[in-house]
Order: sequence, then structure tokens, then C-alpha cells
Amino acid sequence: MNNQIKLAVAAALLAAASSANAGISIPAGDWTLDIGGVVNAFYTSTKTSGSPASSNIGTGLLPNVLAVSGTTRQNDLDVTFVIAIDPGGYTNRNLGTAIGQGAQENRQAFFTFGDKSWGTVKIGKDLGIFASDAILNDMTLLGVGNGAPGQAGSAATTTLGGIGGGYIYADWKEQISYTTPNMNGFQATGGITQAWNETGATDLLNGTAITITSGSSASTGGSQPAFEGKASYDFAADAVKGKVWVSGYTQKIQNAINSSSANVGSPTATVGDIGVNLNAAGFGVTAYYYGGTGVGATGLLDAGLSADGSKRDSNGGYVQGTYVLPTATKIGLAWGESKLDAGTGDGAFTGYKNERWTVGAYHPLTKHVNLVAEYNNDKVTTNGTTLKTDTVSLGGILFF
Amino acid sequence: MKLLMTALVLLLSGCAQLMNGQAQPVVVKDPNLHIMYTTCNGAAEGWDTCATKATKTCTNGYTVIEKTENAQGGFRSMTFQCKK
Repeated sequence: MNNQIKLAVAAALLAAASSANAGISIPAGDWTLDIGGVVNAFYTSTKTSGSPASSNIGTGLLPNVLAVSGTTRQNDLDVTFVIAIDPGGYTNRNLGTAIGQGAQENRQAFFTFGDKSWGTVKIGKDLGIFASDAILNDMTLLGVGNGAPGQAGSAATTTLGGIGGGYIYADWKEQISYTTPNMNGFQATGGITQAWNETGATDLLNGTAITITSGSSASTGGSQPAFEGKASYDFAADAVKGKVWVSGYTQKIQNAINSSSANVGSPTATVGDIGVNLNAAGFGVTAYYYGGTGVGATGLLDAGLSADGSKRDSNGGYVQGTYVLPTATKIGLAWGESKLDAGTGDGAFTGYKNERWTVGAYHPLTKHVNLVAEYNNDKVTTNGTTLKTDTVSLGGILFF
Repeated sequence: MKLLMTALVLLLSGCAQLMNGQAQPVVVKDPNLHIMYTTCNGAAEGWDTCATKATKTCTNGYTVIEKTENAQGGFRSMTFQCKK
């Protein structure tokens, strides 16, 4: 009992001392505000088969981030908020009328309330629940990975990392969710998220335009939101530390239409995944698999319907190994693959596969600056035709 | 020659930083209750390094009080209490 009381006192003492980012903390009345963020840029040299080589300087898989967060304790509830702006690192030369402009995302604007005894409710826009651990465990998250080509002079904000080359993008979604307390390492989250429309894809990867005939939907989920959930178990034994997780997503696609714009009903897209991350003696291994129907292969609900509006199956996964050298540099090797099968009504489209290899080195120059070097090899096969892309990237990322 | 020496010093200085990466520190938040705080942000560190730092800090083991992670990626922090 004494230990529980001490733990409760400690938690209360720390409520004001630690916040979401723990960057620059500012006491402000009842609140502790925190300013945190990311600044990153990479030089990338990339070559796709059949196209001239291209070099760019810009942001990697993360955009730049400026986030303001706050924490307080009110009426026996922990209350927090995060609001962030996310400027991309590319100058848009296509605007025509303006010079020096670039694109910006607004990924986070949410608040939470709860208590360690019963859990936390989140309301607002944040990372999607399904496949969130897949991207958070991707070593290219703070690097470049896929997607460097085609960025120069565009309105892009980021590259793709391992998105579409081993997992589907969780994306940033308006949501209302509940997360359980951490129960000896076990934690679960369930929620409703903004339903989306199904899009017919013309660009599945890397700025390399891949046109496939797909169905789509004129509406989102009709009267229903999307439903997402995940559960995870963290463990930290002396020798081995790691995490196991599962997550899932389902959404009704209201008013699906085929490639001739005829209404074909309201199918339901569904996908689930499982992943594990293990670390011991400087070595780290992550293995991940997903499978679903109607959800696409890169962006959620992107090219998930066939030309006649029926659902396409998709699956994929990645395996990643890392090792921390005595210099504190982390080196890693990752392989990933995402596949999209042809549906019943697909005539010309016979299948899509994106296979990725990434070699990376990530060095902590200071406690807030990482230097990054990556080589990424990507093979995209659509209808039996393969495009290969090699990308070398060098740069750094600062977080505060 | 001065320029060359300056460049050499800068290069060696840079090499020194590359040979000795900097880990994110463990901060004592409450010495009486043995409450500690650390981060494992970025690409070079992860949750495993937060746990490893806690293990090295607490000779008799530790209890996790709070873990936070910002979904923008790369921000991870852990508050823990050393066992007596």
C-alpha cells in the first residue's frame, strides 16, 4: 500500500513536470506548456528505370513540425492538448504567381482527458489507430525511405518511408477514442474515426504515375464512421525488451461506383495487422504483417475497389533488423512488400506489388541531432511490368 | 597552411563526434522518491534504450510511472521510479 501511495504521489508530482514532447517547457498558470518540434532535411539522389536521375533537397518521411502542447490536472482529471503545424521542406515551383512557397500539413489538433485509474479519452485529429505501430516502428520514420523522386518543384511535404512498401499509411484522422490504463504492459485503444471515400488511384508510389482502373465511392461511410482499434503488450525483462501489437480497421463504403460511375452498392472495407518488436544486446528485430480487403495497398481506401466496384484483396509486411554500434550509431536493414490483388471485375489490371529494401545508418551527433544515411531499393510491379528505383539519401533531423 | 590546419582540426573534431554519439540523459526529478525521467527520441534511440537506461540507473529494478509518445514520430519519454 505504501508503495502505491508513493507511486500516486510521484505521478501527481510529475503531472506538471512532464508533457507530451518534453521540449521547451513553460509554466503558465494552471498549465505546463511545451513547445516541441522537428526540423529535417535530406539530399536525395534517385534513379528510376527508364527515367533520368534526379536530386533533391527536402524533408524526409516526417515534415518539419512545430507543436505546442499543454498538460494540467483539473477536477481530478489529467487534461492535455496538442496542436501542431507541419511545413514541408520543398519549394513549390508550380504555383506560377508566387515565389518561394511550399506546402504545409496540419496533422494534430486534439485534447485528452482521463486518469491513470480508468484511462484516457482523446477528441480531435491525430494519427490513425490502425497501423500506427507499423509506421512508428519503421526505421525510416526519421529518414527518407521510398518516395524521394518527383518532389522537386512539387507541393509535396514528405517522402513515403516504408509506406506502401510493407504497410498501409495510418494517416491523420479526426477521431474520438478511448485508451485503457497501462495494465502491467497491456494497453488497448478503440475509437471511431472520420470515414473516408474510396479513391481510384492513379499514383501508388514514389511520384511514378501508375494508372490502374479502379472503382471509387461518391460518399464516405454514410451514416457510419470508421471503426478502429488496437491492443499492445510492452515488456522489459533484463535481457529482452519489446512489444507485441495487433490492430484493425473497418468502414462501410457508401455508394461505391464502378469505373463507369454506376452505383454498385455499399461494401465494407476491413483490414487487420499484427507486429512484434524485440531488442536484446544492441540488436533489434521488427516483424509485421497485414491483410485486408477493399483498403488498398498504400493509402487507406486508395484503389481498394476493382473496375466493377468489387473489393480487391491486399496484404504485405516488413522485417527489419537493427544493431547499435559502439559509436552509438544505429545501423539497420529492412525488407518490405505490399501487394494488391486484382478483383473479380478487373480486366486490364492483373495485380500490383511493391517490394522495398532499405539500408540505413542513424547517428546521434548530439542528444537532439541525428545524422542519417540511407540506401533504398524499390521494385514496383504492375500488370507484370516492373519499375526499379534506387535512392541514396544523406541528411539530418533535429528534434527539440 | 593555416586553412589546411583549421580544416584538419574541424575534420578531426567532426570525426570525434561521429565516433562518440551522445545519448539522451537520465534526469533526477525527485531524489527522495527516486523518480527519474529520460527520453529516447529520434532515429538512433528507441523504447529499448529508454528501458536500458532505466535498468542501468536502478540497481534494484524500476517501475514505469509514465510513458509518452507523440505520434508525429520520434518523441518518446519515460518516467520511472527506482526500487529500493
